[in-house]
Amino acid sequence: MPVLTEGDESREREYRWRLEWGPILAIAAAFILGSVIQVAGLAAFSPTPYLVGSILQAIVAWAVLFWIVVYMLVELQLWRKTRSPGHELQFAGSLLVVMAPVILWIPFLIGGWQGMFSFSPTRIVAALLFMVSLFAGIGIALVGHYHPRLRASTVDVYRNVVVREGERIAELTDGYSTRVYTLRYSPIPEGGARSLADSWAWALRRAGLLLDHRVDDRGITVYPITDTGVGTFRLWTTFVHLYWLWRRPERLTWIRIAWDGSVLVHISPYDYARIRQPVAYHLLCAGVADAVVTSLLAFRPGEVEASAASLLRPPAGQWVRPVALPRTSHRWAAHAATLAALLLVTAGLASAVLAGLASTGRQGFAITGVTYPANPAPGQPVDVYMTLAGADDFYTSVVSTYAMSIAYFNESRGWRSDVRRIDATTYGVRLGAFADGTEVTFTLTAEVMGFGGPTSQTTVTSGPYVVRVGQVRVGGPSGLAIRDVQIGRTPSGNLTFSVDINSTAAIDLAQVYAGPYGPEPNNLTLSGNRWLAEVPYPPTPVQGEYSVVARDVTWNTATTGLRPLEATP
Amino acid sequence: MRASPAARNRLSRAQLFTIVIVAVVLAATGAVAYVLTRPEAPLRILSIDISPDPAVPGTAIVVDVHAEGGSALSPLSVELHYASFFAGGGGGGGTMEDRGGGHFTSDLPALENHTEVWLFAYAYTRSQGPVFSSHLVFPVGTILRGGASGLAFTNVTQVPERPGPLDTVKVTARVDSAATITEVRSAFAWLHMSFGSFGATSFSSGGGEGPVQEASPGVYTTAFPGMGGAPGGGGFEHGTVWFYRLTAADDTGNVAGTDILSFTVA
Repeated sequence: MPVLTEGDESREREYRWRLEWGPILAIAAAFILGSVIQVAGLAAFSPTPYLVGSILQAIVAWAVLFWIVVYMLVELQLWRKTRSPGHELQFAGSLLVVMAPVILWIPFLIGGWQGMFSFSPTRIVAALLFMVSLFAGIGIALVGHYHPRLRASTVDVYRNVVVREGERIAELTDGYSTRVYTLRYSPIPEGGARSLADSWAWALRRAGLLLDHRVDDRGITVYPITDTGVGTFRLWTTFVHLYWLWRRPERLTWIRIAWDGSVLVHISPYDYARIRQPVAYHLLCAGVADAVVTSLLAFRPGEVEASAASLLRPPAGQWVRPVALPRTSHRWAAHAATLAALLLVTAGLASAVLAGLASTGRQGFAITGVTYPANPAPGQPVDVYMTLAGADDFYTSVVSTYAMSIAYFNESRGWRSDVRRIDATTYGVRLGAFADGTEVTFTLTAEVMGFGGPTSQTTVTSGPYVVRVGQVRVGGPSGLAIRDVQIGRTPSGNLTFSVDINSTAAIDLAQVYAGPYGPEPNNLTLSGNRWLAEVPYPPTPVQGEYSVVARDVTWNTATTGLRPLEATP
Repeated sequence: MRASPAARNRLSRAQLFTIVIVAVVLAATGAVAYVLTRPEAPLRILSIDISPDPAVPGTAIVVDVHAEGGSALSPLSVELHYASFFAGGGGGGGTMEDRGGGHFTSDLPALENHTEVWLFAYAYTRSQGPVFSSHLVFPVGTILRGGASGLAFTNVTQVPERPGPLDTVKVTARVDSAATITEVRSAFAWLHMSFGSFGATSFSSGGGEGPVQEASPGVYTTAFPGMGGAPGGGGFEHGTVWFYRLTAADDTGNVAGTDILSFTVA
């Protein structure tokens, strides 16, 4: 019959401090220390302490997240093995806590900063589910951990039957051995008793007292619940336990009760090391075997509490302590919490993915929606508007926006104009007002930098676009045509143009627009049957565009349009 | 079987712990909701003063702005812009230091005698602004105004009066003087602000000064924006506020200046 003494209570307080409050306070202290260093750096306008504080905080934050992920995996394993509602709740809660930041980050990972901070409905839903998941996860995990009936706290897991039996043996010497310890009891009857043993093991697994069990023709083997070390940040211990749970259960503590009455006991080194007093191994094994066999013999279906009591017995004393175990309602509540957690995670991930996919940052930068008067009247201002898609007021920096234009036939010039910002995504430029018969070709360019700094700078260009002012005659009966443009380079780097221009009428105007700083007008002169020009150019690789334009005396016109400038040496 | 007092206490502690956690979460949620939804106080600039007043040559000038508005989550910020003319030159500005109690200060560098200063401040929060102060134009030491040469701006026109984003604003001024006019200069400042989600504030501003060209005898013209414009095409966005001022000096040392002129891009 379990009893509780003052010494037992003080031991439990000590465990709770060492296993739960101590680690929490250590994390909090590290985080507060980082904050203090950060604030001190800010107050002193000193970047080094600020950076050190920030790094410390980041390390603590990532370490905590990593720890919660490991914690979730451990609780998943414990739940899978035991089917205990306490571990199920802790798994569900830690799953929510782990997935909450993922819900927060997905819009950023998919859609950039715009996805992270947009006010789209899906983003608001994702942010809401992040908050709900975080707080619900913490609450669910705490209930699973601390609820007195669920026996799933770190202390309960730490203080299994081995530790409890060890605590009962005050005057023994330290004598651990890896050998298997054997005891012999009276034979257990055939038939119903053996299936009862299976029920007993299942009941104690669901109560969170046994980790696993196996029944065969010769006996039953049970594995008491064991501390994995995750609560105290002993991650190596945790990984060892996860591996043993998965592949090497024989290295855990186990007790095999053969139907012939013999009992084999193996105590894992981790369980033995948790007993904080010298204890003779054979007496410890005897105590553990006695507790487990007593539990089996005390088992009656529907009366698990009496059977559990012998596994939880503290040192002798005077107060009887009732054993509170999970009820069916707790199991249903845990299932409901798990279902709710899965729904929250699914909805959160879905809304986060949708928010990321809908982000304007995802489409990249592009010049779209270019509008201009294609055929303005002479003297009418040519106003060009464009949309810089993917840009916004807050997460992109527009380095420059400009238009490169050439005007020909009735004017002759090439120039660059700054394109002005009109609102967050709309830009515009007034190219000017032009004389009748002038044709203007222009391109629009934007240099944009994202949140990632200079490495994220992108240049986007749109065009060319053609504006014909008043009457510009194209395709007239004279058959004016420009063919076979040959571009070469002189030894000094200058560009040479040789063009075939044909018309039944005399050629009135022949120009090539090219140059190192943008297209500038250069007259072509007739030499033989070809029109030639040499355009000054530095001895550097050519880049940019050119256009050849011509007009004959019938005012028929022709152009090559803007073409990439590629020169043959 | 009877439960021990200790066991009863343990149950109570668990329940108490749960209640405390729930209460803390609810209280924190309520506090956050209150802070987030609390209306922000309206933004106002109550005064702008300089010290010492009058300004003394060679002595730094402290500008003090008294403003109110904002909230803990949307704090009040105040920016200063100034330009100097005649003996001194140049200008600048920046974020004013919060001295508490709604007072914000900035130090102007020590300026030499015969300098005139134009300054103003503007306040904003994460959801309001900008609100402009009155403009101060004051001498440092002494400057000669209303001298015998009769230097004066007699006519200043701005075309168009209500410019759009693609317009170029042309300012024409007639300057009369019995003496030789040695210089006519312009100084300008512009500001545009927009507010995004989660308290993000987009803020662009610019300013400068330079000589004004004489288009015909006694008639001077300048244009905004000048060549090059602002990086990223800023400066003439919808709602951008411009302030400018023209000054002139002649060879008798007489100086004159226009009022502070302004337009907002439609």
